[in-house]
Amino acid sequence: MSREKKWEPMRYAFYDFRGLEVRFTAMAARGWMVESVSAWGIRYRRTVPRQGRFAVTYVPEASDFDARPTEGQELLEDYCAQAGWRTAVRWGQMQVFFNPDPHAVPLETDPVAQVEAIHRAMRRSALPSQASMAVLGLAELGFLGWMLQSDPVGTLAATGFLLLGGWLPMALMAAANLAFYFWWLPRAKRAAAEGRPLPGMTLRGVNEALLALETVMILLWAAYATAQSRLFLVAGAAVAAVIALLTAGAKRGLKRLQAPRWAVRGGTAAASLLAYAALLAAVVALVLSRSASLGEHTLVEEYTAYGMTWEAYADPIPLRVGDLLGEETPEAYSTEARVQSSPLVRETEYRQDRRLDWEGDLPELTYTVVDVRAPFLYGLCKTGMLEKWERYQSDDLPEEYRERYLLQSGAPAGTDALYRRYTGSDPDNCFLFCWENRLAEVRFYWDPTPEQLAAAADRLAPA
Amino acid sequence: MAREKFQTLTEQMFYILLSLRRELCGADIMARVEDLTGGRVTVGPGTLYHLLDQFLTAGMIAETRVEGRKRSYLITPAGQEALESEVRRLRQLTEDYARCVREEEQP
Repeated sequence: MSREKKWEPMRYAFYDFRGLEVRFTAMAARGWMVESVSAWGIRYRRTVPRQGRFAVTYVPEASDFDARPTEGQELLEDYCAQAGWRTAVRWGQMQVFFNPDPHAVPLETDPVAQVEAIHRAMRRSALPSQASMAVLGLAELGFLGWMLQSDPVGTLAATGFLLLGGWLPMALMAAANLAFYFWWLPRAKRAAAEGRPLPGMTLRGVNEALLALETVMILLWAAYATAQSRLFLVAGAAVAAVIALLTAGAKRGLKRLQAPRWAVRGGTAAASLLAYAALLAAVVALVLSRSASLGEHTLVEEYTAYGMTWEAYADPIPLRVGDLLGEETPEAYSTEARVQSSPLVRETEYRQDRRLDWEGDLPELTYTVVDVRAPFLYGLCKTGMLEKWERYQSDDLPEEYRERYLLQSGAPAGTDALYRRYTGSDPDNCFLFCWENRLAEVRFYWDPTPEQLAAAADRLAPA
Repeated sequence: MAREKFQTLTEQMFYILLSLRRELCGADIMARVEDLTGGRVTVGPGTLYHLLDQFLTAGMIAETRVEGRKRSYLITPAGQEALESEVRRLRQLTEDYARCVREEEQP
């Protein structure tokens, strides 16, 4: 059974009347009549193939929150009906008309009046919303830049940055549409003043490329995200979908009740906020309740010490205290491995901690292994790790308390370089091992010997 | 502001204003313009709607009657002034042209 409806994502700018007219005309000729238009997409219904023309025009004072057509829209529709143009779709200020006569008088015959109407409509709705989106995108870009500068490894390894970056194509789309509009407007006014038709202004190709980029970023994120992050994505997408449905339902309901524009606008906003708050609370509760079971750790047991409950793990780790000191008591330790991985960087934090219910003093080990999958980011990651201790130190901090990494001579065989952290001029037991595409920062709880450093380097070296 | 905006009139603007020297409802303007120009100029319904809206905002026409969805309009003194100014401008153009041609034809 053939489909009766067809939907496609919105790839046209709000003001791209010509692109929309061409698309609607082509689809009607193939048997698909436009049924609704929104910021998300265009829906068509199956019909017999129709020849004719579509025309898109704008009524500046109309709004998507109107329960019924404004007087202006009705007036326009009356004039159009007289010339054989029938309303196909209304979407806020945008009015789409269809005329089965391909030789009918065009809807717009004066480019000066046409460009003026487009600009008035843009000023009232599309320009403010696109400008907000573009500003939001720039703010996101600035935030991403700040995060990359302050913690490059953590940022690049966190799959969340792909999601954050996922906003960028949308913001870029808004910025591109906005920039293109202000490039197009003076040209259109000049053409209109000279009596020529308005120049084309389709950005369909750019919008399609940005939509594809958005899809790729989400797919990459999904491929590298942890189970817990995926749960967040699914929950977030579900929340967004439910909010969109509830908001659309509230708007439709209020319109059906013939509520005035301010009531539809206010009611829709209130429904959206309420739905958002309620669903967010529900999802956070769900995620928190299930987060323990979604962890990447192998929980061995819960135990009590110092009047509190603690968790002991038994994650496999590549370097243990016993590998360096020759012996250890495995049951006295909890070992954890926490992975953050993106297509660019994989960061794993390992810990071997003494259980708090174990009597006596035992050496511990903490280390972070960073695999830089994109070689061009190696320098950024290495600098980030080398400068991490200095970054948050106040300028007023006395020299003897300042922490910094210093290059050591006699790096273990197989490594490219070895750094040691110092507080003032006193060496600490924190080392940074460097290989071609791997960095490992190891914090020993004792002063390691050169042999132990060599053994650690051997264990942590890339395969 | 309005005069600046309509300092020169397009053909569509000119003939809509001209047709409104007598009271007409919006829908009849399209036919009237065709009559006035012998079919040389046609006004599309979208253009008619936008221009009537802009003329009303600029005070160049006034709404005289509303019968249901039918609205009638009439040119105002400001609209008449815009029309006459455009005629003066066009007359100046033709006079300049004639003078120029005369000068070129003189030996």
